[in-house]
Amino acid sequence: MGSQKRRRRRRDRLVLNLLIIVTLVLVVFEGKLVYTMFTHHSSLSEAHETSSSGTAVSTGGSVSELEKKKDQATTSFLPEVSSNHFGEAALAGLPDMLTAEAPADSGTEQPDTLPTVSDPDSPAIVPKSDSPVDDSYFADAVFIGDSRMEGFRNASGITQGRFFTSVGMSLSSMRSDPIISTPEGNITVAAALSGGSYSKIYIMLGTNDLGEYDWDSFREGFISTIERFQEIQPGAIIYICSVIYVDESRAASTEYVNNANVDKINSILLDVCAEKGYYYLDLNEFLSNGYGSLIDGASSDGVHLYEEYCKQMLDYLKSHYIEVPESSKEPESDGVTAAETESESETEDVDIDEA
Amino acid sequence: MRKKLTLLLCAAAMTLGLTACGGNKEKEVSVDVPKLTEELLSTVTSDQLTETASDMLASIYFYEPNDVASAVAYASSGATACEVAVIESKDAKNTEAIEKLFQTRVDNQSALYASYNEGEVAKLDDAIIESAGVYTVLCVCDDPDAAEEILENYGF
Repeated sequence: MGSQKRRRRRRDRLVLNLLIIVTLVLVVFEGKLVYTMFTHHSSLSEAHETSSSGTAVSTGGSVSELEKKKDQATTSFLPEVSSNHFGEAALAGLPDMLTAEAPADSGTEQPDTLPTVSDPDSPAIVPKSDSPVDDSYFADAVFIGDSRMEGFRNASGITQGRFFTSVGMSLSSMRSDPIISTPEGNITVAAALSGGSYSKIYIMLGTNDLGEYDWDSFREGFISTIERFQEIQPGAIIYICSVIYVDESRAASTEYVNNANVDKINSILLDVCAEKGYYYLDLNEFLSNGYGSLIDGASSDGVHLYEEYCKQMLDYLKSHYIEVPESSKEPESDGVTAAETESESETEDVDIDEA
Repeated sequence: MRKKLTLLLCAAAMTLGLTACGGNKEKEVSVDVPKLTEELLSTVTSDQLTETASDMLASIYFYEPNDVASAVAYASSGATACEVAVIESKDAKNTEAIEKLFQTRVDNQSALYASYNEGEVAKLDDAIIESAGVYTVLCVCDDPDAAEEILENYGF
């Protein structure tokens, strides 16, 4: 009898010990889970309140809309961005927001997205048009720019327009170096521009100038160069493309090719546009991941865009344009005269349109 | 009589030999251009080339559109100097001019890449420019030996 009682006591103690251990485990792990759930919920509420209280959201979508999109993103694989609408640009950035580049602590007061321009209200920014143009709009356009513009020509599917592009084009080389290919060799941008008559000039410059100059010199040099182009093509609409963000994790060197410098140079370009009456095309409107960087996966080397994004850029240009007033169109003969005058002043007297 | 026959045979052999000097350009070559470009694209491993709109090619390679039956080109996003272009001339006589234009393109690109991305200049130095029949090919790639082999199989 005595031994049976002892066995029962031992069994009871064993069961009691096991229960204590299980309870402790539950308190330690599940308690943490419950605590995390509560803190996470409160931090989301804080972020919501912060955004609702007027934090700049460059994409223009409402916070609730963005949260809805976030929910969609978590439950389904996001389709490729097919348009450049502001709201959809935010959508394009969402995968990054939810993965690698999302802030580690969601409790910090981060806005949903960062603005892509220094002055969102600037009148120089070309707004989206409800009626996109087709390629024929570019028939009397000339595109001047660096390797990113060249990539756009190669991969966007654009069928019209003249391209004076060069890999490595910087402000300095655009002003004076023979960098535009012709059958007779390379000539300067000004000489190339003199060979025809254009109503629109698109300029994409700055990536190769990030950190190269002091910003004041860049600003002055940029203005004088564009004014020179205007002398050659009087009356042409001047479109200045923003410098597209880079993917710093893929860029060969971020010493000066970084997004802080991109933002800085873009603020100068926008400022110059507002001052001089040029038109600013904010390409980062659809190419930003929402956190001041290029969309993840948009480029192999962090700088040059894949075909899909070049096509989106073409769509963007088609939906962001200025109507050419008939009165401001230069007669063909005047353009030729300007071209001839310029050609005479250039050492490379080559008419590239004859090629 | 034997001497005359020998002379005639020699003359015939010389004529045939001279004709052969025309090389592949004189040959009747039929090329499946999409298949050829696809194979040549496999020799580009450092970049993802994309097809450029055919309307833009005359201004890139500076050929006379009236002399060309068709043209296809795959170019870089701007990251590398790699490119593949196949131009079908209306007349085999024009292929020489196309070759010269391709060479100008390569020379211009070399001058520009020298100060931008020197590593790409080596690829341009090894650029392949060849013609067969009415077709002329420009191939700037990572594996020129493989590209040469592909072109040989197509009669270049």
